[in-house]
Amino acid sequence: MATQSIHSSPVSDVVEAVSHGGGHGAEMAHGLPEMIFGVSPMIVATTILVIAYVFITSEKINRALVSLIGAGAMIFLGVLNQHLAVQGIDFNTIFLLIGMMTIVNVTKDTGVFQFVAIYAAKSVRGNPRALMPVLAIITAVFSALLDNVTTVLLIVPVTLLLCEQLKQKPYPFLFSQIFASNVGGMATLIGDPPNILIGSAVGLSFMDFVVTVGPVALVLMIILLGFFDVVWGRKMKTSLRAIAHLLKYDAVSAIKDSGLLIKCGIVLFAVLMGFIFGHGQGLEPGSVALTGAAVLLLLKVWRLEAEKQAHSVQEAFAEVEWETIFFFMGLFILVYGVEVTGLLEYLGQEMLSVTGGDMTATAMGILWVSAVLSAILDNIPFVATMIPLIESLGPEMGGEEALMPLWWCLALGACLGGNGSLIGASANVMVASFAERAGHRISFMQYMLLGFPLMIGTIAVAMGYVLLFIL
Amino acid sequence: MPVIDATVQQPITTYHDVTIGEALATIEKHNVRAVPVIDREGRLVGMISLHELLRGLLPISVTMQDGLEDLSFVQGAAPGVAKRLRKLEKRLVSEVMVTDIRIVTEDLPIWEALRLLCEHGSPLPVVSCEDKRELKGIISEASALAVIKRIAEEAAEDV
Repeated sequence: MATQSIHSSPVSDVVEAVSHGGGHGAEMAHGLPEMIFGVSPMIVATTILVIAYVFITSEKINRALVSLIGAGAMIFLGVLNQHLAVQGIDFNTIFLLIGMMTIVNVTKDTGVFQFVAIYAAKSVRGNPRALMPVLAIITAVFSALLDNVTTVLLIVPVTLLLCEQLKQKPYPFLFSQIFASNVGGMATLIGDPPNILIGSAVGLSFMDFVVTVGPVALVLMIILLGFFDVVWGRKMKTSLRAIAHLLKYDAVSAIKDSGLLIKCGIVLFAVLMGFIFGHGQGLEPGSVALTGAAVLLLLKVWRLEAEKQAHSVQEAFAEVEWETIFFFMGLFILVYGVEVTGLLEYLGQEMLSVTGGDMTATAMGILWVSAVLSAILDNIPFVATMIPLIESLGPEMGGEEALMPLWWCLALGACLGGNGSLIGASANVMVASFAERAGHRISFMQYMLLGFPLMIGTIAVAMGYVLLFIL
Repeated sequence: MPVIDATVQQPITTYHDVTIGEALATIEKHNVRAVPVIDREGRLVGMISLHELLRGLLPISVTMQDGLEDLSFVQGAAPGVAKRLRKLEKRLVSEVMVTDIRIVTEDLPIWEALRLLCEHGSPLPVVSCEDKRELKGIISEASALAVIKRIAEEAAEDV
C-alpha cells in the first residue's frame, strides 16, 4: 500500500474538511466506499486523472471523450457519486462559454470581421508594414472580447487573401496574430479559458481583470509590435499595382446582414455592461452570457413562423462547440475527484514546504511553472487542476484575500505561456492548420525557435509587473 | 440490364499529364460537361470539368476548408482574374482534377446506375472493375434516358 502523510480517511471526512468559497464541499458523501479494491480513493482518483491527462496530451483520442470516460470512471469506481460529480461542474463557466459561443457564431455570419479587416487594410493604404500591426491589434481586441479560436478562424482567411493581394509572405502576419490572440485574450475575464476558470472559481469580476492584467497586456502588445516591426516590418514592400487593386475593395460590401449586425452590436454591448456592472449586483457572467445569447436569437428569429424559428435556433445551437463543452464538464469532474480525495491539498502542502510559505517565492514559482507547462501542455486541464490546489493554500498563506497574487500569476502564466509553442494554445493550432491548408506550412521547430524565447521575454515583463504592482 | 448498355463508349477523354489549357480546349471543342482523365495506360484517374477550372481560379484562402465565404468586397479586379487564368492554363490536369469520384462498374444494374446519376450528377465514368479501372465509357443522364426510351418503344411494338 502506498504511503501518504495525510489521507487514508474516508472521503466524507475529507469533503467536510476541504472548504470552498463556492460551497462545493458542504454535502455529505453518502455511500462512498472508504477503500476501493483495497486501495485508497486518492490513489484511484489520481491514477484516473494521470491516465486521462496522458491521453489528452497525446491527442490520440478525442479529448472530450477522454474526459467524459474519465469522469465516468470516477463515478463507477466510487470516488464520487453522481450528485457530487454534478456539484463539481462549474456551470458558470459552462454557461459563459455556451452563451459567448452562440453570440459569436451569430455575429460572424454578418461579415463584420471581414469588414473590419478590409477597412483596416484600406486605411493603411495597403502598406504591409502598417497592415501587420493593425491586423494584430484587431486580433488582440477581438480575442479580448470573444474567444481566441473563433477570432483567428475569422481573421486568418482574410489575412491570407490580403497577403496574396499584396504579395507578402503570410508567416509574419500569422505569427503576430498568434501572439496577439493570446496576449489580447489575457486582458479580460472572458478573453481566454484560463481567465474564465480562475474568475469563476475566485469570484473575480470583468473589471478586476481589465484593471489588473489589462495594463500588462497593453504594454506587451506595444513591445511585441515594435519587435515584429524590427524583425519583419521594416523590410515589407509591395507594388503600386497591388495597392491599386486593394484600394478598389469595398469594405462595406463585406457586411452581409446589416440588420443582424445592429442586433448583435446591441446585445454584445448589453452583455459587456452586464459583465462590468453585474458583478456588484451579484450577477454572474454565466447568466449574463446565456441570457444574452437567447435574446440575440430571439431578435434574429421573432418574425419567422414556428417551423423556421425552430430550424434557425437548432442551427445556432448546433454551431456551439459541444466537444469543448463536454471536455470542460468531464474535466471539472475529474479534478473534483482528486480534490475531494485530498490529492490537491496534499500537493499544495508539498509546494508550501518547498517555498516555505513565502508569498513572493510561491507567486514566482506559479508564474514560471504555469508558463512553461502551458507552452507544452493544454493549459485548460492544467489551470483546472491548479485552482483547487491554490485554494487549499489559503489557510497557510493568510486567508483567501492573501491568495490574490497567486491567481494573477496563474492567469498570466497560463495565458502568456500559450505563445511558447505551436501547440501551446488552441488558437495557435488553428492558425497552423490554416497555414498548412494554404500551402504555407509552419513547422513546429520554426515557430518554437522564435516563439519560446519571445514568450519567456513576455513572462519576464509580467514578472516585473507582478513584483512592482501586485505583490 | 447492366449499365454497359447505357454507356457512351469511346467518350472524349484527356490525359492527366497534359496542361489545363489543352484540357480546356478539348472541353470547349466538343462542348461536353465533364471529361474523364486517364493515364497513358487507359486507366481512369479522375474527372475534370469547367467547375474545377473555375475553382482553380479562386484564391486558396477561399477554396480551403473554412475559407472565406464571400468575396463581395473584392471589386474591380478583372485583370487579376485574367492573369490567374493564364497561370492556371500552364498547370497540369493532374493538379486540379477531382480524384475522389463516384465510378460505376460495367456490370452494375441499371436501377442503381440511375440512382447514382441522380445522387452524384452526370456524367459518371464506367470502368471495367474496381481494381483495374480501365475506362469503358461514361454514362450520362441523356444516354440513360435514350436507352430507357428505346426499350419502352420496343416493348410497345411487341404488344
